[in-house]
Amino acid sequence: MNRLAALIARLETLNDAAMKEAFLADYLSETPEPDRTHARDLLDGKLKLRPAKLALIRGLAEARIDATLFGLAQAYTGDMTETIALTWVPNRRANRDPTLSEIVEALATLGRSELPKRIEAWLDACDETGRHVLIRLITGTLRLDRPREADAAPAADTQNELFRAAPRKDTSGTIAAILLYAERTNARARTSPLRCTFGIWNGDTLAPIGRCEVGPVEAEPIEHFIAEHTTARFGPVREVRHDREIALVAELAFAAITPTPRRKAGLTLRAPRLLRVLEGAAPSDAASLATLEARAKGH
Amino acid sequence: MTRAADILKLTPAGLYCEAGDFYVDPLRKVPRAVITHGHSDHARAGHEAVLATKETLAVMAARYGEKFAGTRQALHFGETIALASAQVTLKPAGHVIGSAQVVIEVAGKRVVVSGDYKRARDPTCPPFEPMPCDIFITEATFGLPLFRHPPAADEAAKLLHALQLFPDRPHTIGAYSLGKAQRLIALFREAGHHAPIYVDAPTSKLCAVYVAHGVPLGDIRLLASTPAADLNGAIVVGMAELPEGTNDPVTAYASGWMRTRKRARAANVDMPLIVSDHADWDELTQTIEEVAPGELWITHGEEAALLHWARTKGIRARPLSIAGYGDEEDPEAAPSA
Ligand SMILES: [Zn+2]
Ligand SMILES: [Zn+2]
Repeated sequence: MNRLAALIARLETLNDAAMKEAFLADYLSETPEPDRTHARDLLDGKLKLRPAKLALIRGLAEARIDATLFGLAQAYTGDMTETIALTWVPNRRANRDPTLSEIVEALATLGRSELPKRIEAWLDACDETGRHVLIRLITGTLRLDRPREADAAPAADTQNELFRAAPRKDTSGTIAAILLYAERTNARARTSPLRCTFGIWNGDTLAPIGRCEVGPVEAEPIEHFIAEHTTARFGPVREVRHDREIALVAELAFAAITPTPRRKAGLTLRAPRLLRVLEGAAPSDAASLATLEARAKGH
Repeated sequence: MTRAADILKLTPAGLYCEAGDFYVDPLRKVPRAVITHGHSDHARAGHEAVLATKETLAVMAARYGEKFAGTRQALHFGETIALASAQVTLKPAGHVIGSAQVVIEVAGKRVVVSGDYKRARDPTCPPFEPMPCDIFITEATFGLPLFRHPPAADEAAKLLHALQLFPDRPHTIGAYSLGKAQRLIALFREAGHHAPIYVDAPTSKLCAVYVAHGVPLGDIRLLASTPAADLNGAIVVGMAELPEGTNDPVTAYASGWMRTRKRARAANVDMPLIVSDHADWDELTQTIEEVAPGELWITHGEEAALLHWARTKGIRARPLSIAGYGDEEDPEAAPSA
């Protein structure tokens, strides 16, 4: 499980289809049957499991940790699955972590009463990433259709059976959104296009809904904003200020609204592109998730 | 009769020891400063007199120029100096080169300022030495029970594995110029990677300090003077951009914050690596248990969980909110969304 989880975590951070392929091929070449077939099915979204409830696993976790500490960890991650995976302290070290095939078989055959003990043993035997992917797997929340849903889908990608896209009805349009992050697409050149991540309001927070590239000319007002309002740097990525007082608002056009239940917003824009930066617009002028949801339903 | 709690007091300029008339890691220019380590939120330029390890003094000189302070004095690890009525000793903190805990004794009472520290193995600096004390002033950068850093060598191995898979691409690692960069380089060398490693100018200056103080880093070259073609298949450490004309890079970023999925995604690199020079949750709690202080003061970071934990262990604990630490070049200490 740990190796497979490491692969899945890697596929989720990679942008480049060729690199995804290489990591996947490397993993498969070192994975014996029947795990290899199971892993392929899992990555293709074809592995069907009878899921366990997160509440069951949460109960196991809460029995092991001080409630206040667990609560503080949960407040930090905002993701119960991750909180459990990261705060879980193994009771005893198993000599190896479970294989995917063992997990598939046990979930198919074990009775309801036997399940908690087995899950507990698995969690004890996995590392942090292993636990995280394991919990998502057995609660049915591991979705691996397209690891980078916010990207415009390049043609080569759609041919890849791993990352197939679903058919969609026409939900194209425009929307006012707020800049969250910006990254130079060519880390070597100072004037390369920017890859910008935009979000819209979900209550008091901003939910990311899409990423697009902005050419050097259109990017000029964005460059100014970055220069003045960078709040954090992660490698080549700049996080910019985006709150109720100060934010950069831009009008985006998009080809469709795609449901992405795995992501925080639950929706992403397909093939978004920047129409213009709305100079002078207030942060509150940006759209809200509720609006986008209504439009996704065709209202 | 001196109380341990009177040895250090919090002033706008930082922690001040009245008995010795000096500050520890002051946030403003002061007459006399004891500096724990060279990260810029702890070591500022312009004090009249600075006391620190010789490595920390060398780091400050490399970053701020030779005139970074009026006068300077080096103290060996374990050596004690009398400053007025206070005895001051520096003990290894295991954070970066030269990083020290400041042990202050006044009238038989002992206070230890940890500075930044870690307990995990680091080939580039001596390990943290726990010192029993009346008051232990700890950092809490990763003070939540979800931060458990994996062995740094395993993270370094992931990057070397990628280098095998993509032997024609440059592999860039975003890493801070003091500490993180050199630790990673040393780990790559230990893992048998002896090819030239390319660094940006700030990292290069600090690598020279490490080498001059007996920490071998192998063949280190300056990125700026390297032809693009030489970078294909090479490791590049630092924050600088690659020159035009290389193949597409594999990008990595090394930080303890890469533990959570949100932060790892926000880094927007191919390979987030979980490598930190700060103590994780287990190291913090282990250290506090070993030091067994009469009282625990928590300076910067995620303090709520550590406060709660200490109280459940019967350790008196209080937060010391010092604004100003962890906001400059040591951004690991500066949590952001
Ligand atoms: Zn530091
Ligand atoms: Zn610090």
